[in-house]
Amino acid sequence: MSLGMQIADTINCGITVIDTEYSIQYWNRWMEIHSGVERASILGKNIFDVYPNLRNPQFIRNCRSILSFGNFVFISQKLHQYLFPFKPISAFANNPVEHMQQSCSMFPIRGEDGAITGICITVYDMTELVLYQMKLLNMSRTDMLTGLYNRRYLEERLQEEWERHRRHCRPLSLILFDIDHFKEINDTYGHIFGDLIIKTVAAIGRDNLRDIDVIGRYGGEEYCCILPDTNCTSALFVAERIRKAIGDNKIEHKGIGVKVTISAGVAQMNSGMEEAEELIKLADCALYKAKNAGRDKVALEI
Amino acid sequence: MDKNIELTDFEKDALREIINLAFGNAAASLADVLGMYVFLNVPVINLMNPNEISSYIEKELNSSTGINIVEQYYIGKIRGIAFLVMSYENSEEILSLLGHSDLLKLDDYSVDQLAQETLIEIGNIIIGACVSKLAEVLSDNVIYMPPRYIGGYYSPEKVSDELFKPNSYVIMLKTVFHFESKDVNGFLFLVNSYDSINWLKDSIGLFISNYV
Repeated sequence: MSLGMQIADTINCGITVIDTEYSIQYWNRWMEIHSGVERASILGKNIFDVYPNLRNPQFIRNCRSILSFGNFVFISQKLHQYLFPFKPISAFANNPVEHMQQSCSMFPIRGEDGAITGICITVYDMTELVLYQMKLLNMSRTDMLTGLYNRRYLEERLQEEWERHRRHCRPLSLILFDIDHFKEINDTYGHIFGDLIIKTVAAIGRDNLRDIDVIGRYGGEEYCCILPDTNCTSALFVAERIRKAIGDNKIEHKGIGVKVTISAGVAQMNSGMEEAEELIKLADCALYKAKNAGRDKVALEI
Repeated sequence: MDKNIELTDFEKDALREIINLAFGNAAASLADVLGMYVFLNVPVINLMNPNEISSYIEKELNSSTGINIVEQYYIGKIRGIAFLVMSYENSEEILSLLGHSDLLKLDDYSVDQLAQETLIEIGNIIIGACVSKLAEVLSDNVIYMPPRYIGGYYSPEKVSDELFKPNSYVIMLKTVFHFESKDVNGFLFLVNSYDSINWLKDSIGLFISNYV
């Protein structure tokens, strides 16, 4: 076996070569191991027949750019996740990704005369790195006590949603709510019970929202919900539902049962606002209105 | 070294012709690959000292809003570094260029991160088309390093140190491009090393001889 072939077969990355008709001409040992398909059985087959997922505009565009002007293509894992649907091999027990995460590159293979005769594809396994990234990302976004998003991420998302909704002229609403008399509850029943209340209220809040809504812990006992594509009338309805669900629920710990209530402020983005922060301020005003009206209430500020 | 001795006016004119031809081919290839036309203006060619690269690019960028640069090295007989500078109104428009809008549904990355990755892909395609077609007209083959995103600011001192000898010249090509029916435009700078000047002169000579 030639030196090049030995290296290609031993290297810790996938290498395959297809010709200009997309027929597989080379399949290295790494590809055999991770695909479970032996070289002898795949050579000569059309790559789209073996991996129909590759028949997509992006992959075809990549191939065209290589065959038409000898381009080198670098396929980002962030955008595409994988080219070949291989199973992940990972040290993580609860693997949250279905497929091996891959960073791939594609470049032309040329004949003696310099004409392009095929495409070489290399595949690197990025799964472990991606899983670490996902873990870090989650940690940086999550409030550890409640499992909801933290304030930093909420503010980031609000900014994004703000810009998107403004651009497309769509309604965006916000609910700010907090637990009534939380300090007294904490002082009476202790911090552990206080934490349990914060967690339970968070869970009820999340259960009463849609998947596209974003809920986070805004402060100590304060929560914020971003409701995309929602006007204030619907947001009021949602806030009322959350208020009722929390008020109806008895939180029990070591034989003691406590019912808590919340006050909620609702606001909708309007054309007079110049930045996302104004929406929070308006919802905050509404929250004070609800508090001043005797708590366990929902209020709207326009 | 006197740059005028190195490349005659006639050769510069011929090089301009070569680049026009190459970029015309590049536009056709891009239309084929991207499914939309990319307008590439007639390139401007300048010879300059590596330490002038910085001020030249900065001056050219003054008019553009928001700087996003994709940088890519290419190595063949012609070798150098490409800078693709894009300006656009919003990130979602960039995603739509390559049909990546549906990626917004993924929660893992922000729209800006996805736009950045998409910019790298677009940069790779545009740079690849222009450089490869130029290489093709000059009967050269180039290979490419992975493109990098260096958004926000531009620090050219490093570039000149890594790639270009301080006392040599670079051949700077600048073109303006914009996408058909999209509010996305930008500049492409190809900063070619002067090392290959003798080969370039021969290739220009060969090109001229084919047409005389």
